Amino acid sequence: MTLGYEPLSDREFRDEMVKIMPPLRAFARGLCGQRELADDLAQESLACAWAARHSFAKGTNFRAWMYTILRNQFYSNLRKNWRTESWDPDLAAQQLIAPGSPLDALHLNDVSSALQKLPAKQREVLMLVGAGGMPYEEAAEVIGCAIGTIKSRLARGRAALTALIDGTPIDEDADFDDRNAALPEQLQAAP
Amino acid sequence: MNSTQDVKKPGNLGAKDIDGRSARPRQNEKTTVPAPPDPVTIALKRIHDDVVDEPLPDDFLALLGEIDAKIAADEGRQ
Repeated sequence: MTLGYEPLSDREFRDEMVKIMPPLRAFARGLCGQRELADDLAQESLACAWAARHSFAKGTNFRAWMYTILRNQFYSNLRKNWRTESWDPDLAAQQLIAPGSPLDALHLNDVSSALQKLPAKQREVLMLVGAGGMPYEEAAEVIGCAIGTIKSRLARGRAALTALIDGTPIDEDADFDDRNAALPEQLQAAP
Repeated sequence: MNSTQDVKKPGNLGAKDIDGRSARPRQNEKTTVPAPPDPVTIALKRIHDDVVDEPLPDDFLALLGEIDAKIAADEGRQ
């Protein structure tokens, strides 16, 4: 049977996986909040991608494909009431390496902690675009939504994160009600 | 009389350069200066980059080892 597209060779696929591992771990860390959980998620996704490697078409966006798998895995785990760990400030203090002043470290911890309080749909956009520098178009491809949705979630996420850090009230009741529970519309785009 | 000659637009009142255009920026001209990243974005990037810069954990290397072994075995068979 012919596939109708050219898959990567196993070696090419392996090399793409090696390149994507560090930023994929970072995205997972932003979603899960804890190192161990995030690495479990990233490994699970990499294993899943390897198993489905023949469904990836050469010349298409490997990063978007891989991030979509991780994201689907994350929401699938959430649905199964997988361990949704709360923020552990002691652990975070050990994990976050913040060269510079102690105030920098405090700020990073504050931001990490606040990030985990946001709805997952804002958190993922903040990690993809805000932290990882992914273009809007690619983030929209990963999440399976319109570019405008990415932009608005990014803006609201930034505002909510700033408000949480500053301790000011947030005027976004609806978004905070569905924290982690809002399963995105398109979870079928990747294995 | 050409009425347009007497019309002076804001921002066109300064000295002229060799092209005959105003050497001063027009007052109503918008200059686009990229906004500096906000502190939250800077912190997010550092959180992201700290993870990216970490060495890969052993479990990931083990996964790669398994993949390499499979590739080597497949190549050996061919």
